[in-house]
Amino acid sequence: MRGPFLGLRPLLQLTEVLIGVVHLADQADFEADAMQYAPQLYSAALRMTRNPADAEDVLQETFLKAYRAYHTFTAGTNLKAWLYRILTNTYINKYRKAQRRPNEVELGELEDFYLYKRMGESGTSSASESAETEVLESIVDTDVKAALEALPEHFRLPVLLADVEGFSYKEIAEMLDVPIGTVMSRLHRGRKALQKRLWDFASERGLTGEKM
Amino acid sequence: MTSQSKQACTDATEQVYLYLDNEMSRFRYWKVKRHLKKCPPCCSKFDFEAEFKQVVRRKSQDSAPPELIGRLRAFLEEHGADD
Repeated sequence: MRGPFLGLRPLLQLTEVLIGVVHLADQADFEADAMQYAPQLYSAALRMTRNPADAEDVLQETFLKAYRAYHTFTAGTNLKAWLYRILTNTYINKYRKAQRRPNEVELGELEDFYLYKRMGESGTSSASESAETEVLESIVDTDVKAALEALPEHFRLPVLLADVEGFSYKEIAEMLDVPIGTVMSRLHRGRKALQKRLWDFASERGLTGEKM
Repeated sequence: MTSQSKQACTDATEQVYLYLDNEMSRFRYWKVKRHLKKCPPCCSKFDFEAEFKQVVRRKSQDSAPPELIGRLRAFLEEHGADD
């Protein structure tokens, strides 16, 4: 239902543009402005979809939507966050299957400083002050990616958006359309689950004994 | 360890993520920072979590295939106009 005042918004926007308060983005500039983020968005899409073909599909759809909506983007605001919001929504709409509700029990309750404590117990960290850092550095890329991708989606997206992409809780809350408190709890639990997964990988490989 | 300092450790460690994510007020941030300065065990835990965040960030990036941008441009050219 269109309210009687809806017609005012474009008029207000036009006025703002005319008096130079707000600069709306020009579609002609889209490629020059947005293309630089494509590789980074692709990497994020890969962590979301877990395979290159789907990642490129999501990326293309994201760029098409962004291109068509570019005239609504307010120049000078955060273009990267705007693109990630479209990416996240595209992914969710396209790939989120029956499991719409987060299964909060699926991760169980993990203790804080999970990995730090495991390393302390196993004697991994007793050698020197920098031993923990060394162990962290020895974790291979493929394990980090696999651990991230193994997280249930409701935890994976906040961890990806916060830790890999560096967005704030507020930005993530807007992207995922959930309250900030939800972002915080999923992010915090997701990080611990990520640590557990990496610890499990390391244990399987026998990397967690007395000597590294 | 006195119960008072134990409580200070609990207060600090409960906020580790808010602290590392820079999601707290300046006053609360300063209080945690002050505790870390005089508490090596907490400091070591915080350093570890900070380092872990860095590791996740650094080790989870994939480079895009070289033809990606070209394909993306072609896709936009083909579909950008239709609605």
